[in-house]
Formats: sequence, C-alpha cells, structure tokens
Amino acid sequence: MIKSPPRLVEEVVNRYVERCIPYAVMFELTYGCNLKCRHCYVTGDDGVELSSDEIKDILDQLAEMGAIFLAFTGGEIFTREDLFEIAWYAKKKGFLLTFMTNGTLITPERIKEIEKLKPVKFEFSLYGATAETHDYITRVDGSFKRTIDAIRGLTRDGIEVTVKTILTNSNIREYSEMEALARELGVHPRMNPGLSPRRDGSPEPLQYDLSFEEMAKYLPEDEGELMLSYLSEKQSSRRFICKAGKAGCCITPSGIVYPCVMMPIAVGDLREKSFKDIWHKNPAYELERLRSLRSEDMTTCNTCDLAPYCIRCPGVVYLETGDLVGASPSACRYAEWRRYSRSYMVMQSTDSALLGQAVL
Amino acid sequence: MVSLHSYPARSDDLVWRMIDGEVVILTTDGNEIHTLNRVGSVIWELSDGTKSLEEIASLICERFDVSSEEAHADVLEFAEELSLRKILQIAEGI
Repeated sequence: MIKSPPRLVEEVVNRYVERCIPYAVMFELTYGCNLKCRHCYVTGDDGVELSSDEIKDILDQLAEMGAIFLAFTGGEIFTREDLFEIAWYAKKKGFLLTFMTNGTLITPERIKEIEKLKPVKFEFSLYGATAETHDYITRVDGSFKRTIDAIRGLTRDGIEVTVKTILTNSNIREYSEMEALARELGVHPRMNPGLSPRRDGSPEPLQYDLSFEEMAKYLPEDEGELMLSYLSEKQSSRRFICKAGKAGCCITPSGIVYPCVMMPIAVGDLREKSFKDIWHKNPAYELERLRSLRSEDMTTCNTCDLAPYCIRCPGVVYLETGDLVGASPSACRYAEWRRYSRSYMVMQSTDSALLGQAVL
Repeated sequence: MVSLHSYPARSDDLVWRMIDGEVVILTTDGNEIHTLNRVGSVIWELSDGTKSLEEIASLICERFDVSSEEAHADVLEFAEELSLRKILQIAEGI
C-alpha cells in the first residue's frame, strides 16, 4: 500500500512531468529591490503587484493542483511587508518553502520569525569574498557586510543556508576565497557561471560573463564534471529537455505565468484566468509548443560534438537568440571549457599512472 | 498496538498532495518521499483523527468491492506500517 524506494523521487517527478502538474513553482513576489546588481536579468515592474489576498488565492489553486515546492524570489522578497503573512499561509497549505534573498533587510526580529517558520531552504546571493567586489557588483556600499551579518545570524540559530554566487569577470579571481568564506560561514556554496541577457533581451549583463580563458585559469578542473553530474540529462533521448512548462513554472509579481523564471514567455494572466485554465484546460500555443519539444528537435545541438559536455538551458537560449531550438552561444562556450577541463584531467591521471608504472 | 478501535491521524511533520487519486507524502525537510496506492490514499484521506479504523474499514467497503474482513486487514496493515514510519499517529479510543 506504501512505496518508498530510493528512486521514488525520480519516479514521482516523472509522474508530475508526464501529467504536466506543477511540482516546483518560483513565485516572484516583487520586483522591488534595494540593490542594483550589474548582471540582474529583471527588467523592472510588469504591472501592479498582487495583493496578499490574491497571492493566497493563487497558493490555494497551486496546492489543489499538486504543487509541493514553492520558492519565493524577486526582486528582494523582504521589501514586501506582508512576506511573513504570505509565507505562513503557504506553510499551512503544505508547501515546502525556499526563500531567495540578498539578506540585507534581515533584522534580528526577522531572524526570530524565520526560525519559527523554518523554510526548507534559505538561499542568499553573494557576489564576492570581499566588500570591495560584492559592493561593486551590487552597486550599494555596505551590502556585503549586511548580507554576511544576516548569514551569520541565521546559521547561529541553526538555519541551513545556501550561498549562491553567479561567477562573473568581476569576482572569478576570488573563487578560492569565496570557497573559504563559505566554509568559515558554515554554508553550502553554489558557484556557477551562467549569466543571461535581461528579460527584455538586452545583452547588457553579458559584458560581465566569463571568457574561456578566465574559466580555464580560475575554475577547478573538476568543476565542469560536478556541474555535468548535477545538471545535465544523462539519457540522450531527453538531452536538452527540461521541466519548464510541465512540472515547473514561474509567477511574476503581477500574476503573469511563465514556463520558467528564465523563460519570459507569458502563457497566462492569473488576474484573468485560473491556474488550471492556463496550465491544463486552455494552454497557450507557446506552452503547448514547449511541452511538445523533443530532443531531436534541437538538430544543431543534438549532432554537436560538444553535446555530452553541454548544459543547454532553453530559457537562456530563448533570451540569447529568441529561438527555443537553436544553439546557445554561452552554453557552447561553457561546454568547450568542460571538454577542455575533462581532457586536462584525463591527461593528468594518465601522467600519474605512467609515473606510477615507471616507479614500479 | 494498533487495533480496529485505534484512531489514526496524519502526522504534522509532513506535507502531502493527491495526484490523480494517489497520495504523495514528503517529510517537511523534503528528504523523504512516499507514495500510496488508491486504497491507501483513501485510508490516508480518512485518517483525520476523528474516525476509528473500524469506521474507516466500513467506508472502504462502501467505496471498493471488498469484504469487511479484507477491509479490516487492509486498514490494520496500513496503520501499522505508516505508524512505524512515523507518518501516521495512532490514538486509542475509549
């Protein structure tokens, strides 16, 4: 009557994907933010923000549809005065909550409230190991100190924290220092390259993207393998196909539904239609097209030598080129680097083996 | 000891969703996942702490084409297994 084998998570997620049930939802509560990060993909206000009651109504709909994982993101979520009211409501509706924040507005009082609420994940954005680098990127003096203070406050109270760093040409030189800082803070570091154009297609953030030379110089050789093991699809029949628009979606502050936070294709407005209408009963053409995409539709990428090294995000491709099935210039560059770092590692291990034989 | 006079109630330390008639249960840290078949899912929904296993068994008989003996055996097995995994709390009736 009950099943709990180790591969059940995969089985359940596949069930959600096959039936197009939103398993994980990114809810952008606001585009208001107190930082001005140089690489930010958000392009600003998309209309009047949803009220607390409107958000609660959407959460009711999502719970009824079967959604489990709910991430609150922005903008900066702590600029919303009703954040805890919404979060408590979501918790009572049985969502597993993630907070994504820059942490600068987290006060000791808010830490106490977070401790009671116990979100499953708490993710901070941190862009350097020093105030000089982080504040340069956020364009707000003092932001590094406030973020670090909040992280220390939360970890002191036993809350599990992940620190996410988007690697840019401004902070890549501090890679090792950022790893050391994460260890000292007692947090999980998640450092990845992967800038994207802004949601309106503006390429401005890409001026901070890493060059091949910077990746080869500063990133550890095994970083590429780690990223592949976490993020790439092992089965080639499903390569380049993601859960966006099937088991995952994003809701903007004014209630527009996107298939993914990285894919600003409006597929419905929750002020006009129910989530069920948008997702199941009358899905937009774009949503149906996304759901119907198969690995073999990505003809350029599928036949590419770099395919085994590639983590192609359909959302980033869309932002970069406007073409969901074409190649992604940034993914190609990262894949080139992964192929290079794997051959470097193979070369190193062959050298060691040969050296070992010579000694014997 | 679970008996037909026990009152099962879903634990507070988990979240659950009904997907196409089958229940998916996750622990609140998101680390453990369980699924229930259709009969188990109905028993789960009825396990709100206000009905005894005997009452739940008779509702199962009404909904599925099973004898009361089979329903009794099913609800007892269900309650024992889920209480061992601490996802169901069992209270004894007076």
